[in-house]
Amino acid sequence: MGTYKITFSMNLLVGLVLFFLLFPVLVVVAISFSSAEFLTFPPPGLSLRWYEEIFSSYDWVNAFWITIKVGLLTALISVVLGVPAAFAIIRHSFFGKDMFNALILAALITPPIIKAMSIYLFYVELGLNNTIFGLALAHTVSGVPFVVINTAASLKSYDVNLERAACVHGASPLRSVLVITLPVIWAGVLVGAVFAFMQSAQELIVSIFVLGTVNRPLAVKLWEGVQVSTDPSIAAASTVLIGVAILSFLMVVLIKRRDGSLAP
Amino acid sequence: MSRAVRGPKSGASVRLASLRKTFGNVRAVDDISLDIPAGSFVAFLGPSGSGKTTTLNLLAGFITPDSGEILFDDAPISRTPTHQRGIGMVFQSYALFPHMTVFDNVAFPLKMRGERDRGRVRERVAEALAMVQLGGYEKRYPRQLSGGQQQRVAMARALVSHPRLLLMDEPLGALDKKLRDQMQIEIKNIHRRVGSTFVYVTHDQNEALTMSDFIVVMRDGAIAQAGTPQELYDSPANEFVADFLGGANLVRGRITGADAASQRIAFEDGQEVVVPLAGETLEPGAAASLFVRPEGVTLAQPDDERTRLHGEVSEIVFLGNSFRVIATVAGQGFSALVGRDEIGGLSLGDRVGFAWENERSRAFASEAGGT
Repeated sequence: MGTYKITFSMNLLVGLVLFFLLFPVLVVVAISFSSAEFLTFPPPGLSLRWYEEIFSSYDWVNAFWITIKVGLLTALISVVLGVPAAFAIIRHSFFGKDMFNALILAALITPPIIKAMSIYLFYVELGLNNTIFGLALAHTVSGVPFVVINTAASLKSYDVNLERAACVHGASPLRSVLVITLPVIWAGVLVGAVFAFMQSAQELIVSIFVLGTVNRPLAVKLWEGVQVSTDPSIAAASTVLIGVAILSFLMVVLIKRRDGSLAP
Repeated sequence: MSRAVRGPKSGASVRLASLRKTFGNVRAVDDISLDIPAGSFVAFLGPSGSGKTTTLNLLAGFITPDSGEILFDDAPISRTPTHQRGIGMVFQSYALFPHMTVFDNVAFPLKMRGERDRGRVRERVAEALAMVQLGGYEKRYPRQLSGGQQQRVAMARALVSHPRLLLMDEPLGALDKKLRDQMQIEIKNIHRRVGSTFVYVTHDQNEALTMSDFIVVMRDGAIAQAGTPQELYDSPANEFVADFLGGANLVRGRITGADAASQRIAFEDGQEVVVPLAGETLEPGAAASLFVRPEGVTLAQPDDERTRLHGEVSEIVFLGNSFRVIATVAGQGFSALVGRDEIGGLSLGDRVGFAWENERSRAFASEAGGT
């Protein structure tokens, strides 16, 4: 009976903490379905008018589209750079490996404003400001660590003998990686890519600097919306972004579950 | 790529010439030279860390030697990348591709080696699976198979492209005893049928004795002895080989003298035996072990003239068709395998004499602190 009490109070505590953390999110979701003209909580009535509003507005749809383009491009470039980096870190020892490792992870803890300013100044020279590709490249800096971490974790538990077996039976080293290793560790790579995408979709400060004037991504549009407007359309847009995050998270969970049954 | 007709002797001959490989300051393979005849079954036998797996990895090309050369049919291949060596390999962990069916696993070497005719791929895969008695499992995935079945798929994959050299890295290590015994016979059969050269790495002396034409006993990166199983069993070259292969009595003493044909070993308790000079020839005063296999030893009365050593019976173990009599000689264990009718009324604590034919015994340099 004692254990039951402890379990119960633990669950209650966890529930309260979760409620405290999630309440603001729930408020935003609730307001997005409001029928009122202003940001009021609780909403006086329910409607989908604000979703209609954002999905019929060129500005909002464009912002979504840009976010998706930048996110996918970020995920793609992060995979192209991060997967070979993970192989290098796990499979080889080379001069400066620890530095290399630290450098990749440093991107995660560099203050965003520092990143934003330096990338902006750098891009002025390169003419990459106000380009989708430029913002994707900037987001890749923080996207690569996610791919490296997840791919490296998969590679660590990967039986190198699979690759050796492929080589010994006639596959070139590159081919054995492409045909055997990557298909076996794909789940880790994909989880990394999803994280890289989400990181890009929610990033604000670098986005303001690089892509803040002409074509704004969703995060920037939301930020501006909070400053200038008070109608619930920004709540609706936020809810859509939350939905994307939840979908991504579900995808990660499903990938991991599927991968568990794939293990030899 | 395909060879339509395969003669009974289609294996590659393999030569290792002064092969060396160092990891850090560990000499994993230390100046190994060896000739492996075409089509033979060779076992590399040794404890872990003896260099047998490193030698196998050098043969496969997973690592390159620091110096020395490997020759397949007299052609040097130590700089040839693994995938161009045309070999097959069975791994201890099987290393089956988890995302491919049994069919695709077995077809893999054919496809990688350029076989595009799908009918022929199917034919060869069916042939390889039939050889390991796993026909009908084509559509399964490795995770749906038992360990023994996975092992068979690994064999089929290694053999499907008719490699002239097949490497096996402790392939039966993960199976239970009964399955292991059965697979030993099957692998031996397969070897006879395909005629490839088989190089088999194991730490199990039984496997090596059962299956191989030649055994290479390895120790500390060097070859302790190489020869046929009978040669190694009957005339081991040193204490290590004597102890590693089969049961052996190794009684420690000291060399007290030698003549043209024999040398004498004296033990702590004052007993002395004379052994032929066939083993290692040692200086007087050197620490030495008397070697004689338990099955070569017969019982005698302590005062019988045939008796070479005597001791006090400390254990009598019934083995079904025989007894193992263990006695204490010069403070060490000494055992004899004797028939059921030879045991007589022997009981614990009795003094017993041991006799053997002179040529079945040897003197080896004794390794202090060894087992």
